[in-house]
Amino acid sequence: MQAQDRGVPTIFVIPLIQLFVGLFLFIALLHSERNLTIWALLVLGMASGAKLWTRISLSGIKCHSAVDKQKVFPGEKLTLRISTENNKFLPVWLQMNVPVDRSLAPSSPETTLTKESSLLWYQRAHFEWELAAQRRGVHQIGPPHILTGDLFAFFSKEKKIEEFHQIIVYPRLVSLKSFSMPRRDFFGVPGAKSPVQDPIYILGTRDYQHGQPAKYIHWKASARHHRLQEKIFEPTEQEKILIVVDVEQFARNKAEEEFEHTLEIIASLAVRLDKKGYAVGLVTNGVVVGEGPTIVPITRNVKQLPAILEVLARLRMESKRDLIDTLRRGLELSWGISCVHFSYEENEAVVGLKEYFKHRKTPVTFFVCRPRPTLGKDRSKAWYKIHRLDDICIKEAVRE
Amino acid sequence: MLDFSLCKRIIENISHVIVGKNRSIELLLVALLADGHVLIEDIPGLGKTLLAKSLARSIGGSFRRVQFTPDLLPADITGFNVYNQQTGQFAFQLGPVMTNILLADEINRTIPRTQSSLLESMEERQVTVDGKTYPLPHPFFVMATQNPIELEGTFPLPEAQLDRFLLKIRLGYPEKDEEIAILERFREKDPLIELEAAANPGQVAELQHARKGIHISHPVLEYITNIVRATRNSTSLLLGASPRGSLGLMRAGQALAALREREYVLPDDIKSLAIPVLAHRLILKEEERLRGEPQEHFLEEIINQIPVPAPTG
Repeated sequence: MQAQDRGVPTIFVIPLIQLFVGLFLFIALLHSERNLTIWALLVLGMASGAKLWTRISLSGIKCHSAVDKQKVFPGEKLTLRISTENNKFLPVWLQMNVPVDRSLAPSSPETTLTKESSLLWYQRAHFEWELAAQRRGVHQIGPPHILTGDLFAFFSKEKKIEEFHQIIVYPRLVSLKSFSMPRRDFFGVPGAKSPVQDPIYILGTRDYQHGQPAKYIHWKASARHHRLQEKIFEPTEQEKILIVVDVEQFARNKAEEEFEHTLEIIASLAVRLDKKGYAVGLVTNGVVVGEGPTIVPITRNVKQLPAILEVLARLRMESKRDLIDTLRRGLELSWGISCVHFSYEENEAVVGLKEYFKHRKTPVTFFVCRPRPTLGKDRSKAWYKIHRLDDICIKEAVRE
Repeated sequence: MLDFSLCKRIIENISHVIVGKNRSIELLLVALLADGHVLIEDIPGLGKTLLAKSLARSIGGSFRRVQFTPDLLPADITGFNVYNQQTGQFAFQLGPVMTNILLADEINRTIPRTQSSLLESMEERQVTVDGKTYPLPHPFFVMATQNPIELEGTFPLPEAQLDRFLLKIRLGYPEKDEEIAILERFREKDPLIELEAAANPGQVAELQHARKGIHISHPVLEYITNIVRATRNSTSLLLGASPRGSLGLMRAGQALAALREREYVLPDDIKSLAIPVLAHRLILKEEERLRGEPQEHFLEEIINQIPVPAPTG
């Protein structure tokens, strides 16, 4: 905690005035002027008393701040609560100043939230502000500054509380149209299908094959046929989707609006895929605020979707390195993965990525804000598709 | 009142194998006394299976373990009829569910249909195969484990199944001293092999019956319903706890009071059990789930807002 003196301009605290009052006192004493002596003593006493009061006003002051939500969607409200305690017998005047990012306090022209209160001995005060998240990103609340002083507000002393909150505002979720993604087929079997059989779906029965587990025997069918019959099951299926975001193209074209819209679509897509039970991952070549990861490996767990949304919230329209290089260093594109790639325009970088994914036999769907008309005929091959971004987004931005 | 000091002996017995984790062992005994089942959720290697085995040894009952895998069929749990070609008759083969303590290891790795095959066993203590019902031995106690981190290739337990578990327990990492003690204890021999029974299934059944006699006052019952009803009105929750949750909290409260050798339930018992009994029964709203906050966080907020009944008399 840092503390510093901060003078409040009043006539009684100006040193020159105090010098004059001292001079009056001297003259009054010299001429035995009783009334003037009392007045000068009162003024000097009040000033020194207030100064001493202010000096000890910060001691025993405790402060704690909390926000009800650390992660929000645009448009959501959050409440900042600060409680202060005056743990001494001396009453104080207190002003709480909390700097906040402008995008969290749109209704206020100031970017510092301010409230005042006076605290008696061992009294507590609670300050509360309602904030609203407006824009995607990482926004800071605090650190709060406490200004305390005597109850006359002659003097004040300021202390900075080393406590702040980072509010992560996810991209807005929008409604998406349904679209199909190319999958890797191998002799007609989708690549995501695993050799593990799913005991839910029984395709039929056949004569028992030697070596199969006894639990696969269909006893009722065996009784009917008078020879052992076994169940045939469908293979299990697990889709794995890797979302790839090429930030470099947006940064080069300074397409901020399109970038934000693309992130909204990516977030909505990730939520939809997660709901369907897909394993989802994310790779980007953009800069992530706060040294977060640029790769979220493909997996399924309860923290996966919040992790993807947080990377999207922290993403800045600034490129760190080449996308293919990021993909090469970052992760192995294993069997069964399908990619969804988002970039600004259909240019040479997209052509390079097509070759990269083709070489790895990974099916990919490209979404671009600006497709190239000349490539129209070459849009849909067996292992890749190119769509305009608007093809999957329903115009009106509505929370899903 | 029956002598519940036997529970203390069971806890001490388990502590010969398990280092620390007193709270988890206590909760395990709470579930056993309340005639419920336990879901242990934690990362691998923290002693979930060892804890289950230690309890089974300590109460001296029959113990079966089923490793849940994607290809496990319901019949692998409940048992099945085998056709005998010589006699032309079907013969019932007992499944692993016919035991006192069933360890369902990694329960979320199997398909929902197989998970659901446990529903009847857990609630009604019986299995029905091909229209014929077979009763389960008493006491019947299911301890299921699951790994919360990796969901790939898993099937999250359906709500109906989760609701059947009285408690969900997390073990957590041991403290430094405890970890050293674990290394020392398991350096030369496995203490589980030498572990002897501290009770028998008959005594456990008697304890379960005696637990029903623990007094629970009207204000405490009201406190339970206030907590459960608040979960149904919470703006962060899509689905609150069911009346089965209230019953579970009451029974668990009685069991904890019995374990602490008291003849009455205190509001503190309910407060300390509310999270393990109720959290897994709650379903978060979509936006709360996306924020990554667990159910425990919201339940804690609810519990802190509900006034605790003042002592009477």
